[in-house]
This record gives sequence, structure tokens and C-alpha cells, in this order.
Amino acid sequence: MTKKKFSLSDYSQYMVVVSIVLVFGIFSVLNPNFVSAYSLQNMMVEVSPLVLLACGLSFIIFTGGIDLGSGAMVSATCVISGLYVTRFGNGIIPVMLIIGAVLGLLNGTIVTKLKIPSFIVTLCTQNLWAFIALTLCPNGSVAIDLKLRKTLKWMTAKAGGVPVIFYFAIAAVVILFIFQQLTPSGRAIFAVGANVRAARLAGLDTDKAQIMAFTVSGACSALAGALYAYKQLSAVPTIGDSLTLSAIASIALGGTSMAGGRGSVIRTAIGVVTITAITSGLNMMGVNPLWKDIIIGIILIGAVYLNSDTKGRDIIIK
Amino acid sequence: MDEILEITDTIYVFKDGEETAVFPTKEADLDVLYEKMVGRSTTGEFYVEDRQTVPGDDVILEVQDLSLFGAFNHVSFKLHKGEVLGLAGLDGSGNEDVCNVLVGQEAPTAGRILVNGKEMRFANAYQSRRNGILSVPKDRRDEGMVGILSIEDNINISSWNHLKKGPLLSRRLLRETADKWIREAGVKCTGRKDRIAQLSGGNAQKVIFARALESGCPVLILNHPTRGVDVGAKQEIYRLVREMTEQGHAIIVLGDTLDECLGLASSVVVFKDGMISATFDCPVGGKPSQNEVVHFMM
Repeated sequence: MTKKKFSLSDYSQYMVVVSIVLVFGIFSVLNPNFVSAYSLQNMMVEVSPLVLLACGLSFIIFTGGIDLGSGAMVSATCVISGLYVTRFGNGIIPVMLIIGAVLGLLNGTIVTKLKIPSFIVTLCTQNLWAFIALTLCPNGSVAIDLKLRKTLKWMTAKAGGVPVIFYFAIAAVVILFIFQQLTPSGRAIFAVGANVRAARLAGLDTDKAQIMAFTVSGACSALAGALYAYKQLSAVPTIGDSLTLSAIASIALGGTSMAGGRGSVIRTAIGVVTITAITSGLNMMGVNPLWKDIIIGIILIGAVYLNSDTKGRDIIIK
Repeated sequence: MDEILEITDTIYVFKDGEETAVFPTKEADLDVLYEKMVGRSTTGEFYVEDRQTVPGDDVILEVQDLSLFGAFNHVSFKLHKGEVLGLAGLDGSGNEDVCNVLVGQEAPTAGRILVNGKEMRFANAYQSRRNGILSVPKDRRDEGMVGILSIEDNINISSWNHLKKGPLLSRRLLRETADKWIREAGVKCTGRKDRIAQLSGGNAQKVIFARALESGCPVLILNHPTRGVDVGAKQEIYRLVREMTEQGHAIIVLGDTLDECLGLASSVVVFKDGMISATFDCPVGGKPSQNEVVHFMM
């Protein structure tokens, strides 16, 4: 028997562990303050909403689809939370979950019932989310009323040295992981991504699985939007602009195949930590922030290259 | 066939990818050609005929006057508990299209499908599975296997709804079910976490059979169940078919060869040009010869 040809893509699931060690290693050599308690706490606050966004989006990518509008959805929901928190108080969080689920359901229904590729659908619907954000906040960010700030401060307050918002992120990852591993819908999402035709003939409700992925992702994006509003204490209509890129890069760094069928929300979450560490490390070194998205873009291309099965010769690139 | 005898000067006969005979057309007649095309029959032992069940009286699935425009017309048959019904016919004779309709891949243009006496319409394979019909698809790689998933997932995929404990899937049940079928179906692998894509054709097909059996669907449609499978694995698959009927499943089989179709079936419906041209009973010891059947196919 001939020895199996070595291929990097067989090891892509370990990529995230290697890269997180590498990133923290390099930055702490360059800047000894990088892993101080203060900067770690900062990073936990920074990471949490993006973890929600990226883990939710992972499910769409598990099905082999994509949501280009998830960043815009964060903007819209951040604005809605920022403006309406005066009326609902902390009740805004469940309200946003429902709104997000409905927006995701809309995406999913268009994709499955009209049979249109998800990148087209979300390319179009993202304009709707951007419209919501910019009509509600036409003149840029709106700060949340000073009187209300006290009721919102608990989110960034620390419990046992860890910001509350981080507990939110952890809880979300745990719930999503259980959904991914131990529910028929979660498993069906992977089967759809791996081979939709076979999944359908095995008697799975593939439409339901896809719609479920979009709904979960929508709810997560909306919760991320609400968390940004809590974190910034204002409604920021442009907050999500570069988040889609960061989220997809985190997912790819986590070893999730863009073709669908494999991946894990836990590795996505670690990917988010890595990406955030890179950006905040660059910030601390005083690198021009314009470089940030370029660097994340390079990481995304590199990660997707390592993840994808490039061994075969008959690969079709669409 | 008549066309061939009319137009040609020389006839080359192919069977299973090999040339079996060459005749000048003058010397050929239908009977000789049929014999060369279908070849010698294999023994009943090969098809585990001693375990062939006698169908019960309960009709599980009934098809009445079913038509799909452009594919088949006025097809009616009954499928009983414990029966293996063979749908014989050439490529394009309509037998495969009937299966597509039964698993909701296509909507019939006329006629009725009755499951346990109740009329059903299936919009997709999910609905037909929920009503007790599941298929082992013809194209294993593209339609059967969910390639990058594990053997465990591939076995359990049609059964997740009854492998739960409370609202969540039970890891123990998933594991035990997968191990049970790997053992019972004789899947050769290093463990249930292997990717199904790494298995040989025969072993992958056993996994798909395990999926069909675990699903608990009373009606199973086996579309070319032994295509691309080696001889040893073929026999194990035949054994699984017998096991299915012993457990009371009713089976529709489209054989890879006519020999296989007759060997497995307890009755055979022959399709020709989208219509049923003949029906044969195939009890053990009283099976029709291939030549008899082939006349109604061409």
C-alpha cells in the first residue's frame, strides 16, 4: 500500500489551536502588557458580541450557505436596541432575540422556498438591514440616555474578575454546541451541508434544516447587536460594517469548511478570540487601523485554503 | 429488438461489460439473442432463497392507475407485508420513475398511492419517510452516502427522531445503534467514527441498508442495491434483504440484473415502454426463467 499523501487540510481542525498560541506568543513578546489582567478583561468584552455573531453564522456555513448580511443585521439590531431600550429596559434582550429570529426566518424562507443561492439572497437583504439602521439613526451614533446607563452597566460589570457579557457569550456557545451535537435539527444542518441530495433522500426535511440555520443565525446576530448597544451605550448604525469579514474569518480559522458539512461552534469561538487578539494586538502596537481588514482578509484567504480539499484535480471553483 | 433484426447485418451481444456472442443477422433469432443477453442463471443459494418469505395478506402499499406524463402510464400493483416485489424492465421503461414518485421526488400526473389503505401524496422524501417509505438510492455516492459524515451519522440519519431521550439525542443510543448495525450488517471498518467515504462500495452500501432498516419504515425501495458491489458483499446484502422481509418489511427491488431481480423477488412486475406488460409469481422453486421474462421486456 502506498503511503497516503500528506495534506495540510487533514489537520485544519487543529489550525485554530496552533494559531491562537502563535498569536498570543508573538504579541506578548512584542508587548509584555499584552496578557495583563486589564487587557484580558478588555478583550473579553471585545470578543463576546463577535462570538455570538460568528457562532450563529457558523450554522449557515455548516449548511454550505453564507450570510453576507450578518454584519448589517448587527447594525440594525444595535440601533433598534439602542433606541428602544428606553421603553423595554433589559427586556430588550428577549425582544431582540425574537426580532433576529424573524429576520433570519425571512432569509431562510427566501433561500429554500424560492430556491435562490444564499449569497444572492443575503446580498440583497443586507441592504434592508442597513436601511433600517440608517433610517433610525440618520445622523450617526445616538448615545443612550444618561439616566438609563445605570440599568445597562451590569453587562460590562465584572463578576469574579470576568465581565458579565463574557458569561453571556460562554452560555451561548454551550447552548449552540448542544444544539449542534445533540438535536436532530443540528445534525440535519451538517447533513445538508455535506450532501443535500443524499440528506433529502434519507428522508430529512432539508428545507427545515436550512431555515433553522438562518433562524438561529439571525437570533444570534440580533443578540450580538444588543450586546454592542450595551457595550457602547449607544445606537451605532455602522457598527456591523466590518463584522461580516471578521466573523467569516473566525469561522474559517476554526477549521470550518466553506463547502459545508463540517466544523464546530467551539472552534469558531476560539477563532474569534484569535482574530480579536490580532486586531487588539495591532492596536496596541499603534498600527494604522486601516490595515486591520486587509490583515483579516489575508487570514481568511489563508484559512480557507488550508480548510478546503485541494488534493483532487477535478475541483470546480464557482 | 425487432428493429435490430430488421436493420442490421451483424449483431454483437454484450452482457455485463463483455462481448458474449457475434452473429450474422441471418443466423440469429430472438430466442438465441435473449439467451446470450441474459446468460446462465445463478443458483438459488446465491440469493439465499431458503429464507425467502411467503408474502402475507395485508396490503401495505397499493398503487392504482398511477401515471407520470412522459414516463409511465396506468401502473397498478399491490405490495404485501413480507413481500419482495421486483420491478423488471429496461432502462427508461418507467420502473425507476415509479420509485421516484413513491419517494416524493416527482409528483404523479394521475392515479393514487395508498399506504395502509389511506391515500397519500408526497411532496418530498421527508413526507414519504414519515409515512413509511424509504429508498436505498441507485447512485450510492451522490444520493446514498453523506460522504464526509461518519458511519454513525449515516446509519442514524433517518432515525434521529426516535433516538432521543427527552428533547435531546441520546449519545448512548446513537452509539449503540451504530455499533449494533456495524456488527449485524458486517460493515468492515475501524470504528463508527470512520467517514463513510473511506469505505468500499459494498461496505458503504451495507451502511445505507442499516439506515433503511433502522428507520423502521415498513416499505423499503431498493434501487439497484448491488450496483458496484463485489460478489462477497453482494451475498451479504441479499442476506440483509431476507432479514428485512423476515422482520415484516415490504420491499420493492429494482435488480442490477434480471437474474438478481428474479432471484430476490417473490413476485415480479415487468415494465415495457411505461406500461406493465406482465406479472409473474416467483415462489421458491417455481421462478420463471429469464428468457420467459425477457420476452415481455423488449
